[in-house]
Amino acid sequence: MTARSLTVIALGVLAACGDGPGAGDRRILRVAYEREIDLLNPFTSQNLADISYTMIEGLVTTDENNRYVPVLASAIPTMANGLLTVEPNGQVRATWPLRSGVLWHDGAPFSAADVCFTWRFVIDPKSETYNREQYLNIVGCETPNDTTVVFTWSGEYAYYDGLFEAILPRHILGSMSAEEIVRYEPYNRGSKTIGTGPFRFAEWKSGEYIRVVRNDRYWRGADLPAIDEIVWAFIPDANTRLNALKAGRYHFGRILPVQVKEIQSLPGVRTHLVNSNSVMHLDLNVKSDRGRRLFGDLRVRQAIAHAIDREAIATQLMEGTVTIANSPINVSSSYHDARAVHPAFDPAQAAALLDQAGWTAGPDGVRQRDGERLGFTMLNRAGATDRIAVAQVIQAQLKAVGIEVRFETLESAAWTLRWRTGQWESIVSAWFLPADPSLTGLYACDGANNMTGFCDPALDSILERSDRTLDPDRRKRDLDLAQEMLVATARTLPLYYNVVPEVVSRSIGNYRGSGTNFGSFWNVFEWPLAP
Amino acid sequence: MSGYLGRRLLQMVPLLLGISIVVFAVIQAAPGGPEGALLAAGRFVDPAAIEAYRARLGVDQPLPVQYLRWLGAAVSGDLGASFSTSRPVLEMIGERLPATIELMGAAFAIAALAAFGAGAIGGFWPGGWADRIATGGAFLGMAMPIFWLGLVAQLVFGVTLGWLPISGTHTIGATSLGDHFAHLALPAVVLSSRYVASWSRYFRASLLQAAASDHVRTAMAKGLSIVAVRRAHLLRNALGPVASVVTINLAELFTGAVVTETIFAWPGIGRLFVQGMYARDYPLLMGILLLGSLAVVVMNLVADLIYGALDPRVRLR
Amino acid sequence: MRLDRSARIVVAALVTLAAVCFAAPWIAPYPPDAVDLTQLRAAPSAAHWLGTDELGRDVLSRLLFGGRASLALGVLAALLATAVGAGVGATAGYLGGGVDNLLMRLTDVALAIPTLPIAIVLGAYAGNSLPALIAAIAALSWMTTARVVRGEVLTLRETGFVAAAQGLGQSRYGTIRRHLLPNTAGVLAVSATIAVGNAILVESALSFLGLGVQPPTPTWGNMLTDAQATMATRPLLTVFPGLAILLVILGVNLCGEALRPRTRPI
Repeated sequence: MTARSLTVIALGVLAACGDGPGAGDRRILRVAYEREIDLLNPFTSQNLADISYTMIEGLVTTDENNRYVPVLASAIPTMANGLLTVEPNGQVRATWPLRSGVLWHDGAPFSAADVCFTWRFVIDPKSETYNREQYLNIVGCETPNDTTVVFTWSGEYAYYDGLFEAILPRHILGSMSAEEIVRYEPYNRGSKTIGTGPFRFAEWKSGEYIRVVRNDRYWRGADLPAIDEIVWAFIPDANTRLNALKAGRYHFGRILPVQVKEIQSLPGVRTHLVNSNSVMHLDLNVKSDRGRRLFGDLRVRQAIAHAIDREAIATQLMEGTVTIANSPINVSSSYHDARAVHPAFDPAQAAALLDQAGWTAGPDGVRQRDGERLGFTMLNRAGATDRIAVAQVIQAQLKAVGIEVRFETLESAAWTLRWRTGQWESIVSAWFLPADPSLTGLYACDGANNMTGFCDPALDSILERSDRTLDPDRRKRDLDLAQEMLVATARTLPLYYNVVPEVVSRSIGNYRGSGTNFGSFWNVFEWPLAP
Repeated sequence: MSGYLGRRLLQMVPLLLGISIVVFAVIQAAPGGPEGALLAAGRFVDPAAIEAYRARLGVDQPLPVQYLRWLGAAVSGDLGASFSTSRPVLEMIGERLPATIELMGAAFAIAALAAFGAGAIGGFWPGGWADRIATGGAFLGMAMPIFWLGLVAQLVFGVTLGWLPISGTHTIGATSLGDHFAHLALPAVVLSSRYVASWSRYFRASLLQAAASDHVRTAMAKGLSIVAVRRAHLLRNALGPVASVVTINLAELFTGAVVTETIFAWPGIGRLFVQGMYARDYPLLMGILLLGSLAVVVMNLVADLIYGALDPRVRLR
Repeated sequence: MRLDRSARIVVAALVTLAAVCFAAPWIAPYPPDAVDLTQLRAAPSAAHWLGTDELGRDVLSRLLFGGRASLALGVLAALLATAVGAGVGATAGYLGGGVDNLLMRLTDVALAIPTLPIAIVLGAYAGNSLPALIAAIAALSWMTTARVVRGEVLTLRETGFVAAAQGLGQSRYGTIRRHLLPNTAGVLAVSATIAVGNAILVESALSFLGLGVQPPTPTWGNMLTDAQATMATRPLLTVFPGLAILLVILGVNLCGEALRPRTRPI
């Protein structure tokens, strides 16, 4: 038995050696994917991005410059092109012209009715769509003809152009209730996952990979997509993924910033540091009495900002792979305000501010005031190594000015519960923002994602105003003001924009990496794959 | 004997019931819920969506109610639907179980061969240099944290030497058995390291003990050659305790390979469990733990039966 | 218990290692959380004998403090597991009847539940608390000891040993304490030593999965895990904690082996 198994293994080795990426006549793109997918419905999946968008398209997507570009729509309505009009009664009509001649994967024609059907699904409370609230401001959907959809909005909403990232097929799901669609396994699992995208579902081997094959009816033209097949292999472990990329078995894979140095010398690939819409930041909580006592004073918050050396974090800890963030809005966005800059690293100034605020040096090096020590806990999430590393650097830097930070580390779901319910004193965390720069949910007094307890009615009215205008210039002015107010009130300290290092084989062309929630495969239809 | 078997089988029922209650309590008591997975990516999620999700999953109901609903379905073979994928838990487990069984089976086979070799060397030539090397190697494999061993193996054999693939069960598109075995090689060898040490030690110790026993000396006094003695008596008597240990380890067939599966991206049950834990996918976790416990209980029974069959001194009452 | 020479050397080495690690707060050159961003992943040098890690912290110091945590965890978890197991096993074996049945069924339930998965679940509660982790790991490993001790106690009962003691006027509790337990000591010693190794391995597996003791508190397990990401370019960072774990586990298992043939009741 031993000799036979040796022979078999030897044969296997030979077979494996022959199968490099792209072998054979078919152009197969192999992706070392960093997570496992739960289901394919883009509205209900918890972790789906790239994979579904190669199969299922929406009205828009985002490009590498963080801008919305039309996909199934042939143009995005704006005031300038006249497709966006404000009615006398305050409502807004957005007319979306759709591309003609688009077919679903099964040959059925795509039409405006599919778009209105998708809207009806999303606004149903049982659809569990993560951004349903934004869709609720659409009060009507009309289809004057097959290639035009008209949405009636209850008022002016600036984020009207970022919705409908996916369209559901009415001819498959049209007769079901929202609840039934959420549970509908053929759509979740692939056998009836019908879209209009450049690829269509082929096979899903649970826990191993998903295969999608070329859609020969793709509306962009007979010669697109330029690839025959994409295989997404699930390799969640970061080290294994790196090793797999180094072994040359995949054309594409995402790695950790700390691994960039490991792969830079590898020939045949290029590592792109894609700027992500995810901003790492330090939050302070003033919901509790203690929180208010410690952080309620602006000088203390400014002192904390002065005490943290973000430059060192970006250049040394993150080895220069990230850019310092001064605003939650990404630097690539046209709404980013370059003038809103958080205080520079200045420990002397930090000490001075703390002295002014009444926190004087205590016997053990930790400042105190009225018998209370300037010490607080930071809630860490177990397994989030990058955040824990940043937290440790912050702890050391704050210690240098007499502030004591203790860690409390909880497992992922336990951490999420405490975070959501505001039971923490400080946190290093990252928001993954959509391309649309609305900050209301994060910073408004009753914003759904404001867990910090900070409340500024003046900021609230500016944020509301920035959401409720269709004039980009007015919106920019309001958002600039909001970003400057955020700096002035020092209620949160953005640290850096996360970077997603993408290792891309040189045999791939037209790669235009994007760090939005649509991901870098937004233009995969035009990627050629050299053999 | 059949009375014994019947009794043991009957005892399995309250045992499994007790296990299900303990497991349910331990899983549910962990803080946090399934919405953790929705929020983990840092995306903005409407609170209404979270509430709708929780309502659909039924996690806001009182715990005894949730347990009884699960139990009621479980006794008729329905282990419920996974929270993450809405698919039947039994189906999800059924998809991933073969991969784990295959990996563990291969690891056991390799471990058995190696342990047999090392144990026999130690048993027949105790104290010699071969014994020391075999022992040393076995212990080394057991003392090294398995993820370290796995990643080193990946780096050496997969990346630097490029001899073997390091993830997945096969090269996609390839259907050859050889390709599949190439993918199985590294994870199986790495996983086997855990068992080689203890099995070879048991085997060696049993061999030595049996060699010193009375009826072997009697057989040799009767003139049987040493080879015949070994074959007829030593091995059979030594196999008793070894069989016990092996069958008990076999119970880990379902869940023993968590770390190895994670490192080598092997699509098994272990990885499914880890993901289920992060997502607090209670039905999936219950299903896997129950099945794993069932395997242990069954294997214990098998071990006891084998021990009884091999060692005539033990009578099963 | 008399051990042969090589086993005694191993024991001495382990005890020395434990003592050195325990003395970490006094002898370590740097505090274990002293972040130094200018010295990330530096090679060994005069200032840092074993180099520095991904946050510029001294590896030697962290190895010492980590050993303190890992060894404490291993030893305490093993002791706790052995104590609980011995207690349960002795009580069950000695009292027999309904108590025996109940305790053994509880043991069966605990034994049946797969170890690493339930460790993963327990890791979700234990968070960063070392005592909680020790309790969790002990909860996974007391069962085998309970069974073995019960078996030994039953054997002792059948050999008339117990009857003789009781005939001489010993109380039940006294019998357990003075006669049964010392005779099972050999078996307990073996399983306790092996349990130390298992506890350390379970902790390192949990660290790998992102659970267990979290940074910045060093343990050998989480040091090894954190060093994996840069294993190809900075292998030394994995070698030191890995070697430490390897040596300790080898050591305790050799001890366990050495103790085994000597165990014979009466």
